[in-house]
Amino acid sequence: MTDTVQSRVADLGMKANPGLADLVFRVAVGGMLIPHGIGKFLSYDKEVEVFGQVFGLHPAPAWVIGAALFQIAVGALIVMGKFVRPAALLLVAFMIGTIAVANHGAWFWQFTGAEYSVFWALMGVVLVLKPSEG
Amino acid sequence: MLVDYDEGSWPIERMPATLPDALLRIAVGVFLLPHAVTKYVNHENAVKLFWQSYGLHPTSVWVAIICFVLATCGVLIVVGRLVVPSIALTVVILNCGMILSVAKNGWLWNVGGIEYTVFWMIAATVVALKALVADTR
Repeated sequence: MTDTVQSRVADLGMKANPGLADLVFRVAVGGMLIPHGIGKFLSYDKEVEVFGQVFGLHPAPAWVIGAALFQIAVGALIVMGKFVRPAALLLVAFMIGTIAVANHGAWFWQFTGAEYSVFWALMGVVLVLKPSEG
Repeated sequence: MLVDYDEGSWPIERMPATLPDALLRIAVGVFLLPHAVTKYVNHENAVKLFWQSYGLHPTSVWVAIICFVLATCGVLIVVGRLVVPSIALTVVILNCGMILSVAKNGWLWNVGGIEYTVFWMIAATVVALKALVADTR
């Protein structure tokens, strides 16, 4: 019974393409970065204020533009499957920096704590460790 | 071997045993546990802050149920037992929570949006798919 159910679920494409789960994972890890990069350009003035006054990063405009370009570029590389391991390593470093600068010692994501950044960094480590990634 | 199972166990428990896949599975499970612990430790606040505003009654019973499910499923996912049903149950709960609470806040997590919840659910679904594929090979 259990075997039959599992076989039917697997037949919905997974058995034919066991790499689909890895593809979904990689696209999610990289794709989630891109809206943050685009958002920094769309809310540029507010981001500069936050980077300068809350995070204490100066010159704030340079940090905002640099972070935005970094997020878009690294996210796109991971999504496209190009230089995935180096890009994932950069993602991990970026998340460590984010935790140090922006999360203020809290844990839960609902209070802008480190939870999501730590989770994302771990997902980056998973990508780095995957033998199928180049 | 990172994940052990005996031949007599339910087939759905068989999990891929590579390091990245094990790390992914453990991360998906572990990150549920603080949410269960805080609902237990700060029970009064959890009732007051979250569940009353969702209109779920009796609120203390709902908090206890969610706390128990998150803790149980989190531990089961971490140890690699009943992974698929645990993930399915947690995804249903998170979906309900998302619809009831944070969906109105938009996408980005830092303004209270659904981003992290969606990311966790995708990662959990990947773990479940890998478990299903591993079982049917």
